[in-house]
Amino acid sequence: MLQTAALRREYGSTVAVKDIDIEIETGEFASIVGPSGCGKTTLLRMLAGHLEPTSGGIVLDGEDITATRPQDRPTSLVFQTWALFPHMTVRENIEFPIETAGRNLDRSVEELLELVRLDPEEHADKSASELSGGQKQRVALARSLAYDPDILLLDEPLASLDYALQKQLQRELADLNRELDMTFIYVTHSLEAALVMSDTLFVLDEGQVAQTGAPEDIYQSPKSTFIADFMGDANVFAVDAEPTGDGAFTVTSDEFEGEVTVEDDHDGREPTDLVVRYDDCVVRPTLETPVGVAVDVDNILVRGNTVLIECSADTEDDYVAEVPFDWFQTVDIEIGDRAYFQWEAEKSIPVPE
Amino acid sequence: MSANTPRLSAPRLRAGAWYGYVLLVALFLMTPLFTLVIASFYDGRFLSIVDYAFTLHWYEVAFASTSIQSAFLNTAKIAVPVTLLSTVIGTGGAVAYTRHEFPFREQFKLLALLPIFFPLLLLGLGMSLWANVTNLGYGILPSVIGELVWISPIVMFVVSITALGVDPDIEEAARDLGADTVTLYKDVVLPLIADGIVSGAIFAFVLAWNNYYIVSYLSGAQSTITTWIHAKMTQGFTPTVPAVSSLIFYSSVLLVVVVALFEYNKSEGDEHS
Repeated sequence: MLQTAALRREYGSTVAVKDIDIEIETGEFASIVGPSGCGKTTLLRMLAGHLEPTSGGIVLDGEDITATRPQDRPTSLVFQTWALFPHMTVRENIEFPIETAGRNLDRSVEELLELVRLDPEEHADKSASELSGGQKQRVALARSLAYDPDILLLDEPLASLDYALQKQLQRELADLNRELDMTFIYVTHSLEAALVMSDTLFVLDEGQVAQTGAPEDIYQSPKSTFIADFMGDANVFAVDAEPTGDGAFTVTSDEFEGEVTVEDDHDGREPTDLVVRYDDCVVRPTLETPVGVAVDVDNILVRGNTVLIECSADTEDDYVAEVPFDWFQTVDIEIGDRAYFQWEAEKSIPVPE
Repeated sequence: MSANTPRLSAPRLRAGAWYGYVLLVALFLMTPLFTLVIASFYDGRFLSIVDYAFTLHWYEVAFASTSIQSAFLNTAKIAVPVTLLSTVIGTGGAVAYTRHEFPFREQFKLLALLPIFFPLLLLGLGMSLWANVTNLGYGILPSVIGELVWISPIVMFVVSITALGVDPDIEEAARDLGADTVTLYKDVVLPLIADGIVSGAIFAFVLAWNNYYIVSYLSGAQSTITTWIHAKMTQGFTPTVPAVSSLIFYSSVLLVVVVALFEYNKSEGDEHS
């Protein structure tokens, strides 16, 4: 298990990472996500040993590794730029950690290349500089695995690849994590990647962990407006909440008609916003659910099997509904129509500030 | 007429005129260089084109002269150590500046490069006074030290250009994969900046080989090729001067050929790997 205790890093007067405590189980696929500048890369570089913490500690399986140098640390970092040695062949790149560190996975270069789905006969003796982006990414991965780390750290290694390749490599990374029973810590600003691969998600905001948990839990019950926004696909309504007296709130808003009763999910903190996911909303010519808002239909985008309906209310707020294509064909909605944006009350997610 | 037949079109003429112009400018600028070579083979005291006669006599005189031999030997005794030492010092400075974060890093660069921007004539004068004050004296060793002051920063500059182009992540990756400092430099950093080091060393040699100002102040009784030529020009011209000057020119041409071959082999190697 990897733990950090009040891990902190300051750059001059800026605090990049503010006393972070996290725990990651061995073999877990953990993702650290957050907007640019949230401190996720700083955190990862401290875990790798390339950056010294200002204060706090890192403990791996009970052993304090805070002061361990990167070359002695059982972690391996896959860089965003992949950082292959351009003057070496693929084979020499992969043999580098085996020769320098003597931490041998007992796998040959050929086996490692097969593990990352590259044909050894075709690629092993190519120069690293003549590979394509996707191939470089795979070689960088094989090289890190050759080091046989306890923890594989990945710093947005897919960011510069095309979308289809990203999707494929995301699946392959998740498979590798299961196959090798190795802890993976993945840093990204792409929420989609994190959702697909991770067992656990750490959402960082301004150097602190804003929420931790399984991706689907964070998606379904965000703890703050920031998280809800960050998780994406969210319509956000500012609301007024009244406690009902039995651990629930009655929620009303200037921004929609009707009222919603929600459970207290946040230890008594009263909701200030209501979040409704795009795919929980629909648009109909009339209001057929208890809550909804009158809108103008601005745009209709067909996205394969779903349709995005973009609307604007009289308050100038914009809302989006994502509906199944088949359902869309049964309603009479066109661009420019006056209609009702609506959702089932129980789909409302209350969020405190 | 087939469509592929080349024709003298307007753009082609313009290109021809342009190349011709460039060639003429180059010829004009290079003429002094070749005049020296032509003069070195001229059978007479002062070069004349009207009654040109060819001879190898001045080269024979130059090779036979013990003072010229010792000037060449002294120049080599200065240039070779300067090349080796300035390459080591300059590479060290370049690696420190480009690959590491440390306090006063920018100030370090400015201070290190300062001698390049100082007039050589004054640099030599200052060194001469300093050599006297410190009792270092004059000769080969003071010349080596003096040239190092000026040439090491130039090597640092040349190597830095290559070193700055190396992705810093590569160094961290090597550390990350278990490399100790020796392995990091031997297998990763130095091979990646090797081109810059070779360029820096060649630069250093050419500058040391041709240096006049610093050795003129510091070499004392030891004459080098440049101080020998200067002495002859001021104290009495002999036709061996063009011959000796041409010999320096040939050695520079030889070096250029070596560099060209090195570059050619490297690009060949890259294509086959």
